[in-house]
Amino acid sequence: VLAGLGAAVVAAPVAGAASPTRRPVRYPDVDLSYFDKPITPAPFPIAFGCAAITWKEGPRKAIDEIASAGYRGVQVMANAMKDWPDPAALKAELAKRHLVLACFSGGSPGGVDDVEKEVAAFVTKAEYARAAGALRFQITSPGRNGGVDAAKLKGLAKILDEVGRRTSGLEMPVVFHNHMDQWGESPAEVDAILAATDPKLVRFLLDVGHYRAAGGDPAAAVRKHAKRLAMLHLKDVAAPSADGKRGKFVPLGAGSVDFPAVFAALKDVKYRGWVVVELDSAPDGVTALAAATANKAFVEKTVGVPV
Amino acid sequence: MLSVFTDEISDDFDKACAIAADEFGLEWVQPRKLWGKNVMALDGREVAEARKILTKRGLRVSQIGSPLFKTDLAGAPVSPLSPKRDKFSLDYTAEQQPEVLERGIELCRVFATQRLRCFDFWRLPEPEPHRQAIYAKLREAANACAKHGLILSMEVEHECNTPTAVEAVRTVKGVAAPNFQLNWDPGNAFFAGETPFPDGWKLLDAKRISNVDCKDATVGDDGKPKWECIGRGKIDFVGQFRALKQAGYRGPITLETHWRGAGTAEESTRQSMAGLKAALKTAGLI
Repeated sequence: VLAGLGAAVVAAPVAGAASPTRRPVRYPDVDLSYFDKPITPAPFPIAFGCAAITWKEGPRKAIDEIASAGYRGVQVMANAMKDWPDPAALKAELAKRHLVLACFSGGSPGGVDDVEKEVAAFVTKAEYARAAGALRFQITSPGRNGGVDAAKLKGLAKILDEVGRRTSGLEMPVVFHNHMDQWGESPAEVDAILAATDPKLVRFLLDVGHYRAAGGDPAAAVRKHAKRLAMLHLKDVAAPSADGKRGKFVPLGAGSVDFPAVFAALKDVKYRGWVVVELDSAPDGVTALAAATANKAFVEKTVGVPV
Repeated sequence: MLSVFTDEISDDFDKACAIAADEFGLEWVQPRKLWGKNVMALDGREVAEARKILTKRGLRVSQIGSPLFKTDLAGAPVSPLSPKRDKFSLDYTAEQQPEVLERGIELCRVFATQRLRCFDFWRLPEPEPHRQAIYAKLREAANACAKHGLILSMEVEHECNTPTAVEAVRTVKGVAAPNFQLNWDPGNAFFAGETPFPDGWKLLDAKRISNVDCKDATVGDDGKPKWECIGRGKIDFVGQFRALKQAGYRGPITLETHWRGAGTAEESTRQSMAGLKAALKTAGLI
């Protein structure tokens, strides 16, 4: 029954056919040079979102204005759980605005002494985040007051791994976010935390502004951690002053981050996924919407495609 | 027409074809990934080499395993499933789809097959508002295929917007093009939570089936579906094949192993092919 119904294959005697019982096949004698021209490369494999943190009025206004600015995605903080106790309600509000919840900020642990308590709190937030449609769940680290040592970083890694393990069924990777004034600040601390965590359970959210402020080269970090990279934050920071004082965070393009180099590195490592513009606050006298719009224009100019 | 995805045996196309022809005794194969490259990315020299190997092994192409429309739908939110897109070295965006279609049609011509596989975009969290746009894209592609006498064969795929027979019926009706047919995939429907046979199958019009992909599945200890060797899973392939015979189906039945429980792709496919043939024999198809 399964024989027959062949396509337009030409049946003809062919020398060298594998089996004498097999029907010989010959393919149409045509010019194959068409295939020497590959399919035109895709313009840019990255989707851009904007973080709600810039809006001090709260997440409701943030998602309205992020959508009106033309971003495709958003990152919200855990304060969204107060505005929308039901994650389905947040999901519905985002869907109305055609926004993807690219990432959910889970916050940082208070410390590493009570692992179970910290993990349980993150898991609750992660379950909310996934139910709201989040694609990534972000965890930062505790503040540097009291110093940082290898034992603390290992403790943090244990929490990150355990959250990753308990949320692995959610298909929403846990991402560790480097941050100034926290344990995961310097490139060396980032390396240590990533090395101490299970790559299958914990991925990396590279904040290029924080990484630069800590003395790192964000483009080099993209290449170094390409296999762990699951999200980026775009943020800019002024260069340190002559006396070594740390520079302020500034709008994209106004600081010392080499964004063309960052995007070149992303292209080289074939990064596909989300990149979120994140300004912790808008510059004085500028609204969050105006800042988000200006940053979007900067990104579009830098990468040469509409965000 | 018993067929197999060659990359389910080996990325070495000659080796895969040798096993398909000489060990499995097949006359048909479906190319999807050759030498680690998606079939869409082959250059002229590689297409010539593939045709030479097929000729040498006496094999014909049942369908081009194209990734057409296995991408995000332009104008819709990005699907949460889209980051997983690079499973079969497919790497094409929404903007590239017109070229993917054109190249797929050309591949059908040079590999002398009537069937071009496609999908219907990564599954959206809420597909309903985008259904008409999806149907329009599929209709446009089917019309382009019709000009070359080709069938556009859309896979029922749990990661895309038609994951089950229930939704496949709607899609066929919505696209409304005579050469738009279904690549029925009971394994994918199982992954989407449907009982593909008999529940899903009884909804389908056998005359609109262009290919049947075969991979078995079961439910793991964690309660999630997982791939299984054909004959050892939950899918009633014997019943499915009897129904296909009864319906007079004469198109390709294609092994798409996915299960890797035997350690290697080659051995897993070997065992699955044995299971597939046993089910076909019991059903009276071979």
